[in-house]
Amino acid sequence: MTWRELTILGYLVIVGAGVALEVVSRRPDSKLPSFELLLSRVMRTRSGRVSVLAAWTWVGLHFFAR
Amino acid sequence: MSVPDHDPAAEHPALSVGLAAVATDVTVWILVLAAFFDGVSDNWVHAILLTAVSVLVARDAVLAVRGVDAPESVALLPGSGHLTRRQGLGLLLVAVAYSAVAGAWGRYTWPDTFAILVPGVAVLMVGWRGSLRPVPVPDAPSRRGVRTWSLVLVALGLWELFALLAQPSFTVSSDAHPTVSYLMDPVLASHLGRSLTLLAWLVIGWYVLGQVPGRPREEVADDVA
Repeated sequence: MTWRELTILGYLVIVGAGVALEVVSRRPDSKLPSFELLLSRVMRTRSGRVSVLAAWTWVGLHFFAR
Repeated sequence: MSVPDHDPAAEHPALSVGLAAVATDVTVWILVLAAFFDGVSDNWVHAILLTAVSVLVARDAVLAVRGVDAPESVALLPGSGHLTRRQGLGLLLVAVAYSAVAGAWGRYTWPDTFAILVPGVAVLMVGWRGSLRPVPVPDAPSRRGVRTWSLVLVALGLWELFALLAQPSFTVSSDAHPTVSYLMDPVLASHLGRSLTLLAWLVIGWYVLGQVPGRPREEVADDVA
C-alpha cells in the first residue's frame, strides 16, 4: 500500500467513523448525541454560532476565494 | 511593591478584567491563530474575515464579564419558520442558478471571492442577530457523547495536519500525502465540479443556519409588549 492510498484510507476511515456514530445516535435508545444536536448545542451562544458559521464561510473561501 | 505609573491595568481594573476574559476565551484564540496563519499564507480575505469575527467574539466576552449578556437569539422567519414546498423549490432554484453562474468563474478570482463572501457574510449577519427559525436549545449532551464526537473531529484535523506537514512545503502539494484540498483539485477543475461543490456548500450553510437555536419572534414580541 502506498502513502497516498494510506492517507486516503485514513480520511475514509475517519469519515466512516463519523457516519457510524451518526447512525448509532439516531437509534431510539441511543445515549449518543447526534451531530445535529451537538451543532445546535454549540450554537446556543452568539460566539458559538458565529464561530461555526465563520468556519463554514472559511471553507467556501478556502476552496474558491483569493 | 509599587505599581508603575503607567500601568493601564492598575488605572483601569475593568480593562484588565476584559483582557483576561479575551485571553482565556478559546474561541478567540482559535480565530486569531487561524487568521494569523491565513495572513502569513497570503490569504488576506480569509484573514480579514476571521479577524473581524474574532473581534466580535472578543467584544462579547468582554461585555459578558461586565454582566452584559449577548441579546437573546430570535428567529428571523415568522411562525414555524419552515418554508412551503413552493418557497423551498424557489430557493433551491436560486441556489442552483447561483452555483451555475459562480462555478463558471475560475477559482481564486475576485468574482468567485465575492460569490462566496456574499452568502457567507449574509449568513454571519443572520447568525449574529439570532436564528433562522424557532429552534429550542437542546439539553446538554453527555460528556461521553461529546468526547466520542470530539475524537472523530480531532482525528480528522490531525490526519489533515499530518498530510499537510508531509508535503514538501506549505505551498507545494504532495501526491503521496494528499490533503482534502489537494484531493478536491480535480473536482474543482471543471465548471460542473465547481458548481456542484458550491451548491453543496450553500446547502450545508442553509442546514447549519437552520440548527441555530432561537425563540419565536412572536413570543419575544409578546414579552416586550
